[in-house]
Amino acid sequence: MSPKIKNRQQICLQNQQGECEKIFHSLTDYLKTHKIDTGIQDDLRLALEETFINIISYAYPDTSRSDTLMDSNLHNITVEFSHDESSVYIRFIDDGIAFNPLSDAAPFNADKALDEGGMGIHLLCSLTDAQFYQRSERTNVFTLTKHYTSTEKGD
Amino acid sequence: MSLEITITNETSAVKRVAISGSLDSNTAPDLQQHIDDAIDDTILSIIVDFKNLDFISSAGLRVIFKTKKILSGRGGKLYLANLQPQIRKVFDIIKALDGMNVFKDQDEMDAYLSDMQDKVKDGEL
Repeated sequence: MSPKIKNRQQICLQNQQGECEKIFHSLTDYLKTHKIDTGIQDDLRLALEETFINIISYAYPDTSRSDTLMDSNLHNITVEFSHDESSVYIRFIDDGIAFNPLSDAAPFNADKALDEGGMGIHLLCSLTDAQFYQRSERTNVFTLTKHYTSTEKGD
Repeated sequence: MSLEITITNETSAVKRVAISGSLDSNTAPDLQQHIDDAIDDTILSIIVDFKNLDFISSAGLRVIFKTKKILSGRGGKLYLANLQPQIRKVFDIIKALDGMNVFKDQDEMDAYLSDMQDKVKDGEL
């Protein structure tokens, strides 16, 4: 990431599907607050949903996609927004099992997408400019980068 | 984000499923249930009308693919109508439109429905 990254903002979610909406609201607020071109909002919204669903589906295999988790099965997933003059960075940090969506997900095949998966990863990689995975101190750290251009300069 | 689903009988063999709002991981199961309930032995075609859909994710795309697969297995067809630019873009990324029946505009959909209604009147359906 650029050394000029600024305005980090975090939200903490639980590994439940219904939490997706909170990410969308945070994204909208973040772009608006920092006057970042909202033209990237649709692309980022889709990339965020696909990333979050992948995390709760594969990083927590015992509880994937359940909406009624026992307290003992709840985990925190941190989503951090930041940006510099040309890019927005969105970092997901979870304490699930090691899972690199860029290498562990099924390869995308348009003819077999319904049966074999891989569609979500293909979408998020197509809609963002860079993706980076790191396993760090028993956490998965997955970062998306999206370039933007704007007539208004973000603060 | 919510999804509004309106199903109308265009003819005895054709149903239109108009979806409005967000077709995402939270709302896709609801659409799948509505479509499953709508498909019976008499249905030859389902038209999914995207005119007021703002967002679709892979969960929503899977509903569309599954519906197409179910209908194809019964000799029926799935049609897509009024794809908005942001929705078409997602279909394009996964190269899904080549295998889909897509009405290019409202006129083409209306012509199809008129033809189907004529066939019903003539006893062909």
